[in-house]
Amino acid sequence: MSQGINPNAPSPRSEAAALVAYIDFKSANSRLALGPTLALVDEVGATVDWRPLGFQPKHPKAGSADASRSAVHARVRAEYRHREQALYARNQGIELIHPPANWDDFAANAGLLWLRRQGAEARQCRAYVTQVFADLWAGRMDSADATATAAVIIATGGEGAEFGAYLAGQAQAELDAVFAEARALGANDTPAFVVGGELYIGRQHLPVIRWWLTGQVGEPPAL
Amino acid sequence: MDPLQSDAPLIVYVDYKSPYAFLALAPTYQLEDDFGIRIDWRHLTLDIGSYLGTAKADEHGKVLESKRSEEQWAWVRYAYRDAKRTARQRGLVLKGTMKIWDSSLAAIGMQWAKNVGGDCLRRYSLAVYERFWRRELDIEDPAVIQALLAEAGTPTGGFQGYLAGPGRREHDALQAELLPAGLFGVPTYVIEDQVFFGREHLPMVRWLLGGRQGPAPDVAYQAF
Repeated sequence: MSQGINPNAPSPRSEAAALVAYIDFKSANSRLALGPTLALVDEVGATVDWRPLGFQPKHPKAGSADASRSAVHARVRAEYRHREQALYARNQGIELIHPPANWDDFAANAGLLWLRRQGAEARQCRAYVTQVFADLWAGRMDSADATATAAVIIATGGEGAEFGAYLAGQAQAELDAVFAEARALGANDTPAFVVGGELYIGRQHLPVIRWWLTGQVGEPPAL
Repeated sequence: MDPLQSDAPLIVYVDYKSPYAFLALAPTYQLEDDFGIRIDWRHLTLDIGSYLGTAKADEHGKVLESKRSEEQWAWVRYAYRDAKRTARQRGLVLKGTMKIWDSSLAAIGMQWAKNVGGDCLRRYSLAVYERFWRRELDIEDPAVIQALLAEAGTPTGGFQGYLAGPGRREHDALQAELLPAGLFGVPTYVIEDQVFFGREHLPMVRWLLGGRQGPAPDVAYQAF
Protein backbone atom coordinates (compact mmCIF):
# COMPACT_ATOMS: atom_id res chain seq x y z
CA MET A 1 0.00 0.00 0.00
CA SER A 2 1.44 3.39 -0.96
CA GLN A 3 -1.27 5.98 -1.01
CA GLY A 4 0.23 8.78 1.08
CA ILE A 5 -1.72 11.06 3.34
CA ASN A 6 -5.31 11.54 2.32
CA PRO A 7 -7.34 13.62 4.75
CA ASN A 8 -10.53 12.38 3.18
CA ALA A 9 -9.68 8.73 3.57
CA PRO A 10 -12.32 6.67 5.35
CA SER A 11 -12.01 5.02 8.72
CA PRO A 12 -10.79 1.44 8.55
CA ARG A 13 -12.97 -0.77 6.45
CA SER A 14 -14.95 -2.08 9.35
CA GLU A 15 -18.48 -1.11 8.38
CA ALA A 16 -19.66 -4.49 9.61
CA ALA A 17 -18.01 -3.99 12.99
CA ALA A 18 -20.57 -3.70 15.72
CA LEU A 19 -18.05 -3.08 18.43
CA VAL A 20 -15.99 0.07 18.97
CA ALA A 21 -13.14 -0.26 21.44
CA TYR A 22 -11.33 2.79 22.81
CA ILE A 23 -7.92 1.79 24.09
CA ASP A 24 -4.97 3.51 25.70
CA PHE A 25 -1.62 1.91 24.96
CA LYS A 26 -0.24 2.99 28.32
CA SER A 27 -3.19 1.52 30.22
CA ALA A 28 -2.60 -1.85 31.87
CA ASN A 29 -6.34 -2.47 31.85
CA SER A 30 -6.42 -1.90 28.10
CA ARG A 31 -3.55 -4.35 27.74
CA LEU A 32 -5.37 -6.91 29.85
CA ALA A 33 -8.55 -6.48 27.82
CA LEU A 34 -6.89 -7.24 24.51
CA GLY A 35 -6.77 -11.03 24.70
CA PRO A 36 -10.28 -11.55 26.09
CA THR A 37 -11.71 -9.07 23.56
CA LEU A 38 -10.03 -10.79 20.62
CA ALA A 39 -11.16 -14.20 21.91
CA LEU A 40 -14.73 -12.95 22.08
CA VAL A 41 -14.87 -11.41 18.61
CA ASP A 42 -13.17 -14.45 17.09
CA GLU A 43 -15.72 -16.71 18.71
CA VAL A 44 -18.74 -14.73 17.52
CA GLY A 45 -17.32 -13.65 14.15
CA ALA A 46 -17.25 -9.91 14.82
CA THR A 47 -14.60 -7.28 14.21
CA VAL A 48 -13.46 -4.42 16.37
CA ASP A 49 -13.17 -0.77 15.41
CA TRP A 50 -10.10 0.15 17.49
CA ARG A 51 -9.70 3.80 18.47
CA PRO A 52 -7.04 5.46 20.62
CA LEU A 53 -7.93 7.29 23.81
CA GLY A 54 -5.23 8.79 25.98
CA PHE A 55 -5.27 9.28 29.73
CA GLN A 56 -2.58 9.89 32.26
CA PRO A 57 -2.09 6.64 34.19
CA LYS A 58 -2.33 6.78 37.97
CA HIS A 59 0.90 5.37 39.35
CA PRO A 60 1.53 4.76 43.03
CA LYS A 61 3.62 7.58 44.46
CA ALA A 62 5.73 5.74 46.99
CA GLY A 63 7.20 7.97 49.64
CA SER A 64 4.95 10.87 48.73
CA ALA A 65 5.07 13.61 51.33
CA ASP A 66 1.38 14.36 50.84
CA ALA A 67 -0.27 12.68 53.82
CA SER A 68 -3.76 14.07 53.21
CA ARG A 69 -6.54 11.49 53.23
CA SER A 70 -7.13 12.20 49.57
CA ALA A 71 -3.50 11.53 48.64
CA VAL A 72 -3.28 8.40 50.78
CA HIS A 73 -6.50 7.10 49.27
CA ALA A 74 -5.17 7.66 45.75
CA ARG A 75 -1.89 5.91 46.57
CA VAL A 76 -3.59 2.91 48.21
CA ARG A 77 -5.98 2.58 45.27
CA ALA A 78 -3.15 2.77 42.74
CA GLU A 79 -1.09 0.20 44.64
CA TYR A 80 -4.10 -2.11 44.71
CA ARG A 81 -4.62 -1.69 40.98
CA HIS A 82 -1.04 -2.70 40.29
CA ARG A 83 -1.43 -5.87 42.37
CA GLU A 84 -4.73 -6.71 40.71
CA GLN A 85 -3.34 -6.17 37.24
CA ALA A 86 -0.27 -8.29 38.01
CA LEU A 87 -2.48 -11.15 39.20
CA TYR A 88 -4.67 -11.20 36.10
CA ALA A 89 -1.66 -10.73 33.81
CA ARG A 90 -0.11 -13.85 35.35
CA ASN A 91 -3.37 -15.68 34.79
CA GLN A 92 -3.36 -14.58 31.14
CA GLY A 93 0.30 -15.52 30.80
CA ILE A 94 1.37 -12.08 29.59
CA GLU A 95 4.16 -9.75 30.59
CA LEU A 96 3.15 -6.53 32.30
CA ILE A 97 6.13 -4.28 32.87
CA HIS A 98 4.70 -0.97 34.04
CA PRO A 99 6.12 1.98 32.15
CA PRO A 100 7.37 5.16 33.80
CA ALA A 101 4.80 7.70 34.90
CA ASN A 102 5.74 10.11 32.14
CA TRP A 103 5.32 7.53 29.39
CA ASP A 104 4.56 9.25 26.10
CA ASP A 105 2.32 7.19 23.86
CA PHE A 106 1.62 9.91 21.33
CA ALA A 107 3.37 8.06 18.51
CA ALA A 108 1.67 4.77 19.33
CA ASN A 109 -1.78 6.38 19.39
CA ALA A 110 -1.06 8.35 16.24
CA GLY A 111 0.06 5.16 14.50
CA LEU A 112 -3.39 3.70 14.92
CA LEU A 113 -5.00 6.83 13.52
CA TRP A 114 -2.51 6.83 10.68
CA LEU A 115 -3.58 3.32 9.71
CA ARG A 116 -7.24 4.29 9.97
CA ARG A 117 -6.86 7.35 7.74
CA GLN A 118 -5.14 5.19 5.14
CA GLY A 119 -8.26 3.06 4.99
CA ALA A 120 -6.53 0.09 6.53
CA GLU A 121 -8.49 -3.10 6.87
CA ALA A 122 -9.73 -4.15 10.28
CA ARG A 123 -7.21 -7.01 10.33
CA GLN A 124 -4.36 -4.49 9.92
CA CYS A 125 -5.57 -2.37 12.78
CA ARG A 126 -5.91 -5.51 14.88
CA ALA A 127 -2.38 -6.58 14.02
CA TYR A 128 -1.06 -3.12 14.89
CA VAL A 129 -2.86 -2.97 18.23
CA THR A 130 -1.77 -6.49 19.14
CA GLN A 131 1.87 -5.90 18.26
CA VAL A 132 2.17 -2.50 19.92
CA PHE A 133 0.55 -3.70 23.15
CA ALA A 134 2.74 -6.80 23.28
CA ASP A 135 5.96 -4.90 22.62
CA LEU A 136 5.25 -1.93 24.87
CA TRP A 137 4.21 -3.93 27.92
CA ALA A 138 7.08 -6.37 27.54
CA GLY A 139 9.51 -3.45 27.53
CA ARG A 140 10.62 -4.11 23.94
CA MET A 141 9.39 -0.85 22.47
CA ASP A 142 9.63 2.83 23.30
CA SER A 143 6.18 4.30 22.80
CA ALA A 144 7.64 7.68 21.89
CA ASP A 145 9.86 6.18 19.19
CA ALA A 146 8.35 7.16 15.84
CA THR A 147 10.71 4.87 13.94
CA ALA A 148 9.68 1.85 15.96
CA THR A 149 6.03 2.76 15.48
CA ALA A 150 6.51 3.16 11.74
CA ALA A 151 8.12 -0.28 11.65
CA VAL A 152 5.00 -1.80 13.17
CA ILE A 153 2.83 0.09 10.70
CA ILE A 154 4.88 -1.29 7.83
CA ALA A 155 4.82 -4.80 9.30
CA THR A 156 1.02 -4.68 9.29
CA GLY A 157 1.02 -3.69 5.61
CA GLY A 158 0.63 0.04 6.09
CA GLU A 159 2.53 2.95 4.60
CA GLY A 160 5.21 4.12 6.99
CA ALA A 161 7.37 6.49 4.99
CA GLU A 162 5.27 9.59 5.63
CA PHE A 163 4.32 8.72 9.20
CA GLY A 164 6.94 11.11 10.58
CA ALA A 165 5.40 14.00 8.67
CA TYR A 166 1.98 13.05 9.96
CA LEU A 167 3.29 13.00 13.53
CA ALA A 168 4.75 16.46 13.13
CA GLY A 169 1.65 17.76 11.42
CA GLN A 170 -1.93 16.73 11.78
CA ALA A 171 -1.62 13.89 14.26
CA GLN A 172 -2.13 15.95 17.42
CA ALA A 173 -5.28 17.66 16.16
CA GLU A 174 -6.74 14.39 14.93
CA LEU A 175 -5.99 12.62 18.20
CA ASP A 176 -7.55 15.48 20.13
CA ALA A 177 -10.69 15.13 18.02
CA VAL A 178 -10.95 11.38 18.64
CA PHE A 179 -10.33 11.88 22.37
CA ALA A 180 -12.99 14.59 22.51
CA GLU A 181 -15.47 12.33 20.73
CA ALA A 182 -14.85 9.57 23.26
CA ARG A 183 -15.12 11.85 26.25
CA ALA A 184 -18.36 13.27 24.90
CA LEU A 185 -19.72 9.73 25.02
CA GLY A 186 -18.74 9.56 28.68
CA ALA A 187 -15.61 7.44 28.28
CA ASN A 188 -13.44 8.45 31.23
CA ASP A 189 -11.19 5.39 31.27
CA THR A 190 -10.11 2.52 29.06
CA PRO A 191 -10.88 0.07 27.73
CA ALA A 192 -14.20 1.67 26.78
CA PHE A 193 -16.53 -0.28 24.53
CA VAL A 194 -19.45 1.08 22.53
CA VAL A 195 -21.98 -1.42 21.27
CA GLY A 196 -25.70 -1.15 20.65
CA GLY A 197 -25.52 2.52 21.57
CA GLU A 198 -24.31 1.67 25.07
CA LEU A 199 -20.99 2.59 26.67
CA TYR A 200 -19.20 0.02 28.81
CA ILE A 201 -15.95 0.76 30.60
CA GLY A 202 -13.83 -2.25 31.54
CA ARG A 203 -13.42 -5.79 30.28
CA GLN A 204 -15.73 -7.07 33.00
CA HIS A 205 -18.54 -6.09 30.61
CA LEU A 206 -17.51 -8.59 27.93
CA PRO A 207 -20.38 -10.97 28.86
CA VAL A 208 -22.99 -8.33 28.01
CA ILE A 209 -20.99 -7.30 24.95
CA ARG A 210 -21.20 -10.91 23.81
CA TRP A 211 -24.97 -10.68 24.27
CA TRP A 212 -25.05 -7.61 22.00
CA LEU A 213 -22.84 -9.21 19.35
CA THR A 214 -24.85 -12.42 19.24
CA GLY A 215 -28.24 -10.86 18.59
CA GLN A 216 -29.45 -10.02 22.09
CA VAL A 217 -31.08 -13.39 22.65
CA GLY A 218 -32.84 -13.64 25.99
CA GLU A 219 -32.20 -11.30 28.88
CA PRO A 220 -28.85 -9.52 29.04
CA PRO A 221 -26.48 -11.10 31.53
CA ALA A 222 -26.54 -8.89 34.57
CA LEU A 223 -24.47 -9.15 37.70
CA MET B 1 -10.12 -6.17 64.76
CA ASP B 2 -7.64 -7.08 62.04
CA PRO B 3 -9.19 -5.79 58.78
CA LEU B 4 -7.79 -8.71 56.80
CA GLN B 5 -8.38 -11.58 59.23
CA SER B 6 -11.51 -13.47 60.19
CA ASP B 7 -12.62 -16.91 61.32
CA ALA B 8 -14.97 -16.89 58.31
CA PRO B 9 -13.61 -17.94 54.90
CA LEU B 10 -14.66 -14.66 53.30
CA ILE B 11 -14.79 -11.07 54.52
CA VAL B 12 -16.93 -8.65 52.51
CA TYR B 13 -16.72 -4.90 53.02
CA VAL B 14 -19.74 -2.88 51.93
CA ASP B 15 -21.28 0.55 52.46
CA TYR B 16 -25.02 1.13 52.33
CA LYS B 17 -24.53 4.40 50.44
CA SER B 18 -22.61 2.73 47.59
CA PRO B 19 -24.65 1.74 44.53
CA TYR B 20 -22.00 -0.80 43.61
CA ALA B 21 -22.25 -2.43 47.03
CA PHE B 22 -26.02 -2.55 46.57
CA LEU B 23 -25.59 -4.36 43.24
CA ALA B 24 -23.12 -6.77 44.82
CA LEU B 25 -25.44 -7.78 47.63
CA ALA B 26 -27.50 -10.50 45.93
CA PRO B 27 -24.67 -12.22 44.04
CA THR B 28 -22.55 -12.15 47.18
CA TYR B 29 -25.29 -13.71 49.29
CA GLN B 30 -25.54 -16.29 46.51
CA LEU B 31 -21.99 -17.32 47.39
CA GLU B 32 -23.05 -17.82 50.98
CA ASP B 33 -25.95 -20.00 49.86
CA ASP B 34 -24.09 -21.94 47.15
CA PHE B 35 -21.10 -22.81 49.29
CA GLY B 36 -22.86 -23.05 52.64
CA ILE B 37 -20.41 -20.63 54.20
CA ARG B 38 -20.74 -17.75 56.60
CA ILE B 39 -19.58 -14.39 55.28
CA ASP B 40 -18.02 -11.92 57.67
CA TRP B 41 -19.80 -8.72 56.57
CA ARG B 42 -18.16 -5.47 57.58
CA HIS B 43 -18.89 -1.84 56.84
CA LEU B 44 -16.33 0.36 55.14
CA THR B 45 -17.84 3.79 55.57
CA LEU B 46 -16.70 5.61 52.48
CA ASP B 47 -15.25 9.09 52.78
CA ILE B 48 -16.45 9.97 49.29
CA GLY B 49 -15.48 13.59 49.50
CA SER B 50 -11.81 12.67 49.91
CA TYR B 51 -11.59 11.06 46.47
CA LEU B 52 -14.63 12.15 44.48
CA GLY B 53 -15.29 15.62 45.85
CA THR B 54 -18.66 16.66 47.19
CA ALA B 55 -21.91 17.83 45.64
CA LYS B 56 -25.58 18.33 46.40
CA ALA B 57 -28.43 18.02 43.91
CA ASP B 58 -32.19 18.47 43.99
CA GLU B 59 -34.60 15.59 43.46
CA HIS B 60 -34.45 16.12 39.70
CA GLY B 61 -30.67 15.81 39.63
CA LYS B 62 -29.98 19.53 39.23
CA VAL B 63 -26.67 20.31 40.92
CA LEU B 64 -27.06 22.83 43.73
CA GLU B 65 -23.51 22.76 45.13
CA SER B 66 -20.34 21.20 43.79
CA LYS B 67 -16.74 20.81 44.88
CA ARG B 68 -15.85 18.34 42.15
CA SER B 69 -13.43 18.52 39.26
CA GLU B 70 -14.59 17.72 35.74
CA GLU B 71 -12.74 14.40 35.98
CA GLN B 72 -14.54 13.54 39.22
CA TRP B 73 -17.90 14.43 37.67
CA ALA B 74 -17.15 12.21 34.70
CA TRP B 75 -16.51 9.31 37.08
CA VAL B 76 -19.67 9.91 39.07
CA ARG B 77 -21.82 10.24 35.95
CA TYR B 78 -20.55 7.03 34.41
CA ALA B 79 -20.77 5.14 37.71
CA TYR B 80 -24.44 5.99 38.12
CA ARG B 81 -25.19 5.37 34.45
CA ASP B 82 -23.59 1.94 34.73
CA ALA B 83 -25.17 1.09 38.06
CA LYS B 84 -28.65 2.19 37.01
CA ARG B 85 -28.42 0.15 33.81
CA THR B 86 -27.58 -2.99 35.79
CA ALA B 87 -30.24 -2.24 38.38
CA ARG B 88 -32.89 -1.94 35.67
CA GLN B 89 -31.85 -5.27 34.19
CA ARG B 90 -32.19 -6.88 37.62
CA GLY B 91 -35.48 -5.23 38.47
CA LEU B 92 -34.01 -3.05 41.22
CA VAL B 93 -34.82 0.60 41.84
CA LEU B 94 -31.72 2.75 42.08
CA LYS B 95 -32.25 6.49 42.31
CA GLY B 96 -29.20 8.71 42.50
CA THR B 97 -28.59 10.26 45.89
CA MET B 98 -29.06 14.02 46.35
CA LYS B 99 -26.18 14.41 48.78
CA ILE B 100 -23.35 12.40 50.25
CA TRP B 101 -24.94 10.63 53.18
CA ASP B 102 -23.30 9.75 56.47
CA SER B 103 -23.90 6.00 56.56
CA SER B 104 -22.17 5.40 59.87
CA LEU B 105 -25.42 4.96 61.85
CA ALA B 106 -26.60 2.31 59.41
CA ALA B 107 -23.15 0.74 59.72
CA ILE B 108 -23.47 0.52 63.49
CA GLY B 109 -26.90 -1.01 62.94
CA MET B 110 -25.12 -3.59 60.80
CA GLN B 111 -22.73 -4.38 63.67
CA TRP B 112 -25.69 -4.79 66.02
CA ALA B 113 -27.57 -7.13 63.68
CA LYS B 114 -24.40 -9.12 63.06
CA ASN B 115 -23.87 -9.57 66.80
CA VAL B 116 -27.41 -10.90 67.17
CA GLY B 117 -26.67 -13.53 64.54
CA GLY B 118 -28.95 -15.69 62.42
CA ASP B 119 -30.54 -14.09 59.41
CA CYS B 120 -31.05 -10.73 61.13
CA LEU B 121 -28.21 -9.08 59.26
CA ARG B 122 -29.40 -10.30 55.86
CA ARG B 123 -32.93 -9.02 56.49
CA TYR B 124 -31.64 -5.72 57.84
CA SER B 125 -29.23 -5.17 54.94
CA LEU B 126 -31.82 -6.00 52.29
CA ALA B 127 -34.25 -3.54 53.86
CA VAL B 128 -31.67 -0.76 54.21
CA TYR B 129 -30.35 -1.11 50.67
CA GLU B 130 -33.69 -1.41 48.91
CA ARG B 131 -35.35 1.48 50.71
CA PHE B 132 -32.34 3.75 50.75
CA TRP B 133 -31.92 3.45 46.99
CA ARG B 134 -35.63 4.20 46.51
CA ARG B 135 -34.98 7.39 48.51
CA GLU B 136 -37.38 6.16 51.16
CA LEU B 137 -34.94 6.04 54.05
CA ASP B 138 -33.17 8.61 56.17
CA ILE B 139 -30.16 6.61 57.27
CA GLU B 140 -28.93 9.51 59.40
CA ASP B 141 -31.92 9.13 61.77
CA PRO B 142 -31.21 6.82 64.76
CA ALA B 143 -34.91 6.06 65.18
CA VAL B 144 -35.12 4.87 61.58
CA ILE B 145 -32.19 2.52 62.06
CA GLN B 146 -33.70 1.10 65.24
CA ALA B 147 -37.04 0.55 63.52
CA LEU B 148 -35.32 -1.33 60.69
CA LEU B 149 -33.53 -3.54 63.18
CA ALA B 150 -36.80 -4.34 64.89
CA GLU B 151 -38.39 -5.12 61.55
CA ALA B 152 -35.52 -7.48 60.81
CA GLY B 153 -36.37 -9.41 63.96
CA THR B 154 -33.53 -8.01 66.01
CA PRO B 155 -34.04 -7.17 69.71
CA THR B 156 -33.39 -3.45 70.05
CA GLY B 157 -33.22 -2.95 73.81
CA GLY B 158 -30.10 -0.90 74.51
CA PHE B 159 -29.49 -0.10 70.87
CA GLN B 160 -29.51 3.67 71.27
CA GLY B 161 -26.87 3.42 73.98
CA TYR B 162 -24.81 1.12 71.77
CA LEU B 163 -25.17 3.54 68.88
CA ALA B 164 -23.74 6.44 70.84
CA GLY B 165 -21.19 4.43 72.84
CA PRO B 166 -19.49 1.11 72.12
CA GLY B 167 -21.00 0.74 68.66
CA ARG B 168 -19.66 4.10 67.56
CA ARG B 169 -16.24 3.37 69.06
CA GLU B 170 -16.09 -0.04 67.36
CA HIS B 171 -17.10 1.50 64.05
CA ASP B 172 -14.62 4.34 64.21
CA ALA B 173 -11.78 2.08 65.33
CA LEU B 174 -12.31 -0.24 62.36
CA GLN B 175 -12.52 2.63 59.89
CA ALA B 176 -9.17 3.95 61.08
CA GLU B 177 -7.58 0.58 60.29
CA LEU B 178 -8.94 0.13 56.78
CA LEU B 179 -6.95 2.46 54.56
CA PRO B 180 -3.62 1.49 56.17
CA ALA B 181 -4.56 -2.13 55.46
CA GLY B 182 -5.07 -1.34 51.78
CA LEU B 183 -8.87 -1.26 51.86
CA PHE B 184 -10.31 1.79 50.15
CA GLY B 185 -13.62 0.99 48.42
CA VAL B 186 -16.62 -1.29 48.26
CA PRO B 187 -17.51 -3.97 47.67
CA THR B 188 -14.20 -5.48 48.70
CA TYR B 189 -13.68 -9.21 49.12
CA VAL B 190 -10.94 -10.58 51.37
CA ILE B 191 -10.21 -14.25 50.88
CA GLU B 192 -7.07 -16.29 51.52
CA ASP B 193 -5.20 -13.07 52.40
CA GLN B 194 -6.01 -11.59 49.00
CA VAL B 195 -8.03 -8.42 48.47
CA PHE B 196 -10.40 -7.95 45.53
CA PHE B 197 -12.17 -4.65 44.94
CA GLY B 198 -15.39 -4.79 42.92
CA ARG B 199 -18.02 -7.38 42.13
CA GLU B 200 -16.27 -8.10 38.83
CA HIS B 201 -14.02 -10.34 40.94
CA LEU B 202 -16.87 -12.59 42.04
CA PRO B 203 -15.80 -15.23 39.48
CA MET B 204 -12.36 -15.26 41.10
CA VAL B 205 -13.82 -15.36 44.63
CA ARG B 206 -16.10 -18.20 43.56
CA TRP B 207 -13.15 -20.04 42.01
CA LEU B 208 -11.15 -19.71 45.24
CA LEU B 209 -14.06 -20.84 47.41
CA GLY B 210 -14.58 -23.79 45.10
CA GLY B 211 -11.03 -25.05 45.50
CA ARG B 212 -9.46 -23.65 42.35
CA GLN B 213 -11.11 -26.04 39.92
CA GLY B 214 -10.08 -25.40 36.31
CA PRO B 215 -8.29 -22.31 35.02
CA ALA B 216 -8.48 -19.11 37.03
CA PRO B 217 -11.27 -16.88 35.68
CA ASP B 218 -10.90 -13.32 34.47
CA VAL B 219 -12.94 -10.43 35.83
CA ALA B 220 -16.54 -10.45 34.61
CA TYR B 221 -19.98 -9.18 35.41
CA GLN B 222 -21.33 -12.65 34.85
CA ALA B 223 -24.27 -14.14 36.68
CA PHE B 224 -23.98 -17.68 38.03
